[in-house]
Amino acid sequence: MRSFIANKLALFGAAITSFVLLAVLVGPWLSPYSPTEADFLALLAPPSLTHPFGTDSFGRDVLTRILYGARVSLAVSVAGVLMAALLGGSAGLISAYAGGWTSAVLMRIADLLFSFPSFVLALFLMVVLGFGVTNIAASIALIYFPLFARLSRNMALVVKEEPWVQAAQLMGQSTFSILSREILPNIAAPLFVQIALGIAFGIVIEAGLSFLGLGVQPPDPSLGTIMADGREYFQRAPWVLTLSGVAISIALLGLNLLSDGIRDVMDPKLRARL
Amino acid sequence: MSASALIEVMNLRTSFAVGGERVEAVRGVSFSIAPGEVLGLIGESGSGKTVTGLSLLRLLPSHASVAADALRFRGQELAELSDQQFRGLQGIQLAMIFQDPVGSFNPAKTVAWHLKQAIARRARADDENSDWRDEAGRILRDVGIRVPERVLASYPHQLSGGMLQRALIAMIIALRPAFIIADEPTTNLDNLVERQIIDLLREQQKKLGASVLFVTHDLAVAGEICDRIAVMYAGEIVEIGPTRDVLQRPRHPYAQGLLQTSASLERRDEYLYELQGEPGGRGAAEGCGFVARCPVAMAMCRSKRPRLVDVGPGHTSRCLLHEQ
Amino acid sequence: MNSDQGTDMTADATLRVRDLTLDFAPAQRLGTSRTLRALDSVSLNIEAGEIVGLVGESGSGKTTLGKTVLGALKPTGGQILYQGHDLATLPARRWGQLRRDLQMVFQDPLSSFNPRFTIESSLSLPLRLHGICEKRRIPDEVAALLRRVGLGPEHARRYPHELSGGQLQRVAVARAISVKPRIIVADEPVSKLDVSVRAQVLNLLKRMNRETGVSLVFITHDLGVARFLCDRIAVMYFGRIVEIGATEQVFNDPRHPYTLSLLRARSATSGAVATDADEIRLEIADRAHACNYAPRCGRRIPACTQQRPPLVTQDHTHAAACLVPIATALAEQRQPINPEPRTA
Repeated sequence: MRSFIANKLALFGAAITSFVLLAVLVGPWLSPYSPTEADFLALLAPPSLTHPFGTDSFGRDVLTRILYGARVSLAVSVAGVLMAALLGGSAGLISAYAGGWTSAVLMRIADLLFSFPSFVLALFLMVVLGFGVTNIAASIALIYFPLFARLSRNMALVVKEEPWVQAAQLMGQSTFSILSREILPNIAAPLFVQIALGIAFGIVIEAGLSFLGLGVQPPDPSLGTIMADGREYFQRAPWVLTLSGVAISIALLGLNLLSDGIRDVMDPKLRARL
Repeated sequence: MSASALIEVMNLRTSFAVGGERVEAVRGVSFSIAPGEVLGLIGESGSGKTVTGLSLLRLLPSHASVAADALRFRGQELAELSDQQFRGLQGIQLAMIFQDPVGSFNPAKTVAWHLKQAIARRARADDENSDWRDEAGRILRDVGIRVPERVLASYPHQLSGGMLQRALIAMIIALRPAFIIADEPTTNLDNLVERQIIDLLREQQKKLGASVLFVTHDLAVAGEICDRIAVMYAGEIVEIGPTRDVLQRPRHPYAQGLLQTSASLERRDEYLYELQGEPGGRGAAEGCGFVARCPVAMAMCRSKRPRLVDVGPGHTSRCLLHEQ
Repeated sequence: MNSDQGTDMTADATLRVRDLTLDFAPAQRLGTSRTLRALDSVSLNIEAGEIVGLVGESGSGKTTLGKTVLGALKPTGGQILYQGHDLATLPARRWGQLRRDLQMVFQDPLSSFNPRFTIESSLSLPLRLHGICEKRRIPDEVAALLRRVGLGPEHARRYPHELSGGQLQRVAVARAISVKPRIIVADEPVSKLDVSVRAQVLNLLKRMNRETGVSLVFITHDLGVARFLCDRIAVMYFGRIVEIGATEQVFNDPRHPYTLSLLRARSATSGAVATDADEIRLEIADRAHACNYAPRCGRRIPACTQQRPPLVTQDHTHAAACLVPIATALAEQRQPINPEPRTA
């Protein structure tokens, strides 16, 4: 923990992420506007005291839309990545321990999913599954499943050979106990790093899908739909696209620095142990 | 310190910066080694024996700081040499045999390549010009490898631990160094192979006339090869003297404890003599570093730090009991 | 074939290994696609309350034998008879209570404990799992176990990396005895420890054996330590037992040439060990029907490469697998009935 605090960038990343989380959780309640409430008297208004980020082509407050949109993006991304971590992580763990037939099947499924470029896979899944927020989460989960499966399997393969695992087997511990107590806690750390990174990328996927009109549908806000809007009238009201782009970038920056920090904390600990 | 000593170390102090603290691994070690002499350095975890050797050859990482009142090789103060100049000595005059021979070899190159490097390096230094293959074959036969051609053509991973250790010794011989530090060279080897390597080392050391600092935790092995023995504990030398005196009539309670354990093993007592506590604790700031485990510790041992005092001809020990 | 004649009165705790064979799948090393025969038809009895030493060098199969007996490795052939079961073929779910009877102490204490859990947690788990005592009494039981191995209760709160090797190994012994086993396999338990703490662990193991009657299978390459601890010693060479007998018999009266060279290596009598690692590639048509020590043996005769020497009783409980065993003058004096080596 101490070394985490000492790592300035990681701390910075954690700070940004916390700020973003706070804004997203609390902000919408603080805003006097509704994200879909149109104000035809103030179309495409530039940033001002009443509208810090200006308004869009429907007169909706951009800042409010960004906060609500970010909430959606984050929620979808977190849900998708956590599901991937849970399913993929377990699949990898079981595959490493069981070996043989089970392992082969699980890993081939992972390989299949892994062979598609992420965004193409996402597009395909949205077309097949239909639009909507839950399906975005599902496609993020499917995209990330192989990564977690591979990662967890590779680490579990190493840990499973450690003498304390053999000691547990000789003691008669159940397979479930060995997987959850002896192996899982010792492979968890890199998985957490991947979760943070995954959330960041998930936001990008969601934004991309929504931008193309395949994700969140108007008038519901999402970082992607806001950016799509903003692009259309960029000449007249550049702040919409710019500011929503900046918002995404900040969130991504925070998450990336945070995951770097987590990873750095692991490394020196490993070195010190040697 | 005799004027003709090959290696002279006075008050060596090595410490490491670890997480904001300074950890002292070697706290004032002094010894000298005459030409052709083998000095044993015996110790366990935390004794500082390996760090001592690494300090002499400038093989420590950057967060280590090495200081000494004197560090002389053939009378020349080593600290005055730049890294470049020191590198000229490293390997040629000052060599090291590591515990695990694997690390000393490039896994992508054959043994022939390694020997060629060593021989060429020596030849450059001596301004000679010999056919390296003949020399390599000769040296390998000298270390007991009957079919040198096969070993020369092999890669390190194709050889067993014992063979690799022989090949490493061959490389060292090719360089004909004046001083060798051998750090636990037989610890990882099987019993029979260990026996052979010990005999080989003894034989080659005599032939080369090299001085050796033999670092080990194994009293029996040290007893066979070394002319003199220094026992280290918590970063200090606690006893040093001729091999027979130190091993058969040790004066320091730690060395005595080690001897008593192996004696009770020989006697086949029902239970072995036990030294209490654990090694590897950091040396105390005040008082004797061994006080926590010492069976004959007195009250003043906690506050007064003992110095090395004479307990016999050429034999000193660091214990307040001797100062009574 | 085995020189032991255990009485059946203690059949309860005797473990009988019969013709145990274990082959490892071909290693990916260059050239050799042969399977590695780690255990080659090994037979051995482990009686209640005794300490048996498995002595040998790396590759001798001593660790493999220890692990296979516990069920950690699956043998290719042979039997492990214990309490009416054949452990070699017993499926995992049928082991049940047998798991308590057979425990292990590993070579490296630090990696034999899950680094994420405290000592207390690691010791509590077996107690809970096997219902050794009531749940609320577990902390007391843990403290008692620690006391028994010479550690204070304050160690329970610590993590494995906070203890020294010697202390951790004693915790490992505590863990093994916590489930009241019948047999403990100790795999080189002191070779990774500092010399000044080895005595502590060795004494502890001996004490456990004397106090509780638990049998020990003590795996080591250190003959001196084996002599101190073991009642009987089995010398192994490349997967076979080449000599077995009471400790003093094997040490004072070795019959197999390999045993003799091990003893001589120990006592600095060089010259007798005239082996050369190069020459192991002797032409042996069929390894199964030859003595595997023949390539290095100074006493070999033609018959040595044509048949596998059986483990033949030299006297009472002392047996050696050699066609030309060493018959010392001492042996001849004591055993006038057996002046010559027996051939099968």
